[in-house]
Parts: sequence; C-alpha cells; structure tokens
Amino acid sequence: MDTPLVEMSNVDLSFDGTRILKGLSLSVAPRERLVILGQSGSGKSTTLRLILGILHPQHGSVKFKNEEVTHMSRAKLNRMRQKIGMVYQYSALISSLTIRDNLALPLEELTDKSREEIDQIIEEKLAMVGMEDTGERMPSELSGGMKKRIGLARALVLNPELVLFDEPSAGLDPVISSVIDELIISLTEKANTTSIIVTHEMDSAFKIATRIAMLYQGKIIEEDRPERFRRSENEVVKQFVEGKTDGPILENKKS
Amino acid sequence: MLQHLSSVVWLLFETAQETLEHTRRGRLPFRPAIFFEQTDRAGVGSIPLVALVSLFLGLTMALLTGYQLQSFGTERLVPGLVAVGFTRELGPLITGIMVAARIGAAYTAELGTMTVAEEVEAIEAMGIGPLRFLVTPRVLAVFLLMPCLVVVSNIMALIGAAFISDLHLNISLPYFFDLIHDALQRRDIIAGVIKSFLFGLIIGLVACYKGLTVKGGAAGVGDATTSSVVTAITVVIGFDTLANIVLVALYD
Repeated sequence: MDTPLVEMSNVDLSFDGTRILKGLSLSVAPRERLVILGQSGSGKSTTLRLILGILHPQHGSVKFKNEEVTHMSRAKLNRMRQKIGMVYQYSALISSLTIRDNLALPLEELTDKSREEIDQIIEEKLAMVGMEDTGERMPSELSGGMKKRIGLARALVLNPELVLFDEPSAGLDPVISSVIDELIISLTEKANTTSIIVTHEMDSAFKIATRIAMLYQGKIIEEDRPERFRRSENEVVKQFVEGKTDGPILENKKS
Repeated sequence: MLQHLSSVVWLLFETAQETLEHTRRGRLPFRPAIFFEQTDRAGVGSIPLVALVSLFLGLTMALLTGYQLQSFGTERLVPGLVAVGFTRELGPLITGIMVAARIGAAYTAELGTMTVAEEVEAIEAMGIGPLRFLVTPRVLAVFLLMPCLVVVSNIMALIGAAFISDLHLNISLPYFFDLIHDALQRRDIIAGVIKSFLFGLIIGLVACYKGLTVKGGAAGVGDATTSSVVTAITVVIGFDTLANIVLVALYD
C-alpha cells in the first residue's frame, strides 16, 4: 500500500464541552475516493476542517503527506493548503467577485503566473465543470448546482493533490447530483487526485466511493469497499444504509 | 471586556504578522484595488456626512459660546474656543463617532456575512491569509483616512463658526482668522492628529474583529453590527479621555 496521503490517529475534539470526535483514526491512500458517512452533527465536516488545519484537535495527530498538520507554522500551513482543494456545501464563493475573479483569486494571490496563463487555467477549469459561459456573472446569479460546479472548479485551479468535498450533492436535483458525482469520479481518474467526500446521500456515496467509512459517536466504526460496506453486519451501518427508523442510532439518541 | 480587548490586540498583531510574511515573499501586502475601494468608501464616502454634521456643530458651538461670552464682553474668544475645541477634541471625536457608525457598521456587516457564508473560511482554506486579504486594506484605509476626515470636520466647523461670528458677534472674517491664529497652538494640532490616527485604528480593528467572530446566521450579523458600533464608540470615547490625560500631563 502507498504511504497514506492523510493519516489521523486518536483524534479527540470537543466544542463547548461536547465531545465531537473521540479517538478518531483514519487513513487515506493516494488516488482513493473515500466517502465518510454519518449522521448530521456526527463530525464529518469537522474532520475535513481538521485535515485543512482550520481546527486543531485537543488530542491526537493529523498528518498530511507525513507532516503533522497540528503543529505547522502559519506559512507552512498555507503552503500545505495550496495542495488541498475544498468544495463547500454551500459553495462559499466570494459574493463580491465575479466567477472569473473567484477562480483567479488563488492563482493571483499564490502563484507567479501571468494574466494569460491565469485566463487559460480559468477557461480550462470552467470547461471541465461545463460552465464556460459564466465567467462574467456574479455568484448570486447562479443556481445552487451551478455554484457547486464553480466551487469545484475553484478547488481545482491549483491542481491539488487532495480534494475535500463537504456534502457535494446536498440540496441538488438528481440530474445535477449525478453530474457532480461523475465530475468527482473523473477528477480522480484523469488527474490522479485523491478525494475525501463527506455525505449522507447513500446513492452518491456508493456511486463515487472506492472506500466508505462510517463515522458514529466520534469514531470510525466501519470502513470497507462499497460492495462489502453494503453487506456490513454492523447494526448501526445496516440501519444507516437502509434508512430504517428501528435500530441503535435512534435508541442511542433517546438514551 | 478585557478578553475582547486582548482579542482585538491579538488581531492587530496576527494581521501585521500575516501581512509581513506575505511581503517577505516579494509580494504586495494586499490588492491595491481593494485598498483604494476601501479608502473611497471610508474616506470620500464619509465626507458629506462629516462635513454637514461638523458645520452644524460649529454653528451651534459659536452661537452658544457667543451668547454666554457676550454678557462678559469677551465674545472675541469664540473663534479660538471653536478652533481649539475642534482641532484638539471635537473634530477627532465627532468624526470617530460618525465613522464608527457608518464604516465600522459596514465592515462588520460585510465581514460577518462573509463569515456566516463560509467565504472567510474558504479564503483561509485556499492558503490565502484572510487577515492580510480582508483586514489589512480595511483597517489601513480607515487608519489613514481618519486624519483627512478630521481636517474636513475642523474646516467645516470653523466655516460655521465664522458665519455666526460675522453675522451675530460682529467679528469680521479676517479678524476671525487672526484670533484663531493667536489661539491655536502646534500641540493642539498634534493632539488632534494623534487622536485621529488612534481612533481610525480602533474603529477598523473593532469592526473587523466583530465581523470575523460572528456566530449564528443573520441574527448574529445584526447583533455583531450593533455591538461593533457601540463598542467602537465607547472605546473611542474611553481612549479620548485617556489621550487627554496623557497629553495634558505631557504639555501642561
């Protein structure tokens, strides 16, 4: 097996006295598409923010390419972040900038590329997500699905080694949702990029993933290839995958 | 209160550090376009309000002091009183209050909305320092433009006072300016300039801090905006008192 691109071990994280992650351990190999499943509020998005170094764990270790993220200096952290693209649930496009300027932002701020090179990359990335004619529009003029595709294009402008997706298909119609899923798959296949996708959309999860992990009560309780994950004997996983109301998830919540 | 104050000081140091780190890599500290946009907004955009309010205050101050001093036959003190009062105290203070209400509120609402929409986090996640990118041009714009606005405030107040002096107190315009020249000292101007820079820094930092620490959606942005204006005005008045104590101890 390749050296893990991301490695988290025994990560504990609490907010205002509530423990969100309790000894989370997770390893992601290069060119994997790892889907993290879990209930709302289970700490899935938090896990992505830990990898980016936006949040810091109280205990445990988070490594990106064998380097400890939690103890990195700001300059080093910023250099690391340039190798990671993040696609937000609500796109998080800069509302005061046009689509073109949103995509140009990391290129202008972090690279020495010329105006022509930047324009060429923007055209290329917009074409990749099928949004060629939107460059001069403002984010407020786009639909949710279009924003999400632009968010993906922005995450790719620096050719990252790892792309983090926070609920990429949440709130989208099935067609646009499939378009996003296919973009994620083609991304890893064509560009050799590694992806970590956080979702609770089961169809998308099984379509995209090369491996699925289930986050429950602050730790990974099951991880496997999609076809094996679907047949898991773990009661929590079975209830979550089948979407049943009877089972340990709601019982534990009540207790 | 102390925790907020230390957080604002921390914001100043973090922003300066982030900006210097970026500059050391041979890059511009921030986008000039954003800086000029903010100077236009904070400075040029505030001129009508500052000018109008200061004109009214100059008129009122001359009228009230003239009314009192006339009974002692010392109304010729009015020009000096208005000039010293505005240059040293009221100009920076009134301008600070107006800029806190107009620009501080706008900065907090803008950055707060960006924080709630995860735009600030997205900037951070890309490896672009959000403090350098968002805070530096805004704080610098209001810091540098405050003294200019104070000059506008002082001039407009003197125009108002000159008008009343000529019309009501029989002090002609050349005599009015002679009296100002005699009354106004260099230390009054220095005190006003120091205060205006200080107030600009306070307003910019408080507004950005409140905006970047917004929690809880639209209601949170509203609360932060109110809190930003109230905090900035209170801190400006507090520092004005402190500055007066220090300056009086230094000069008098």
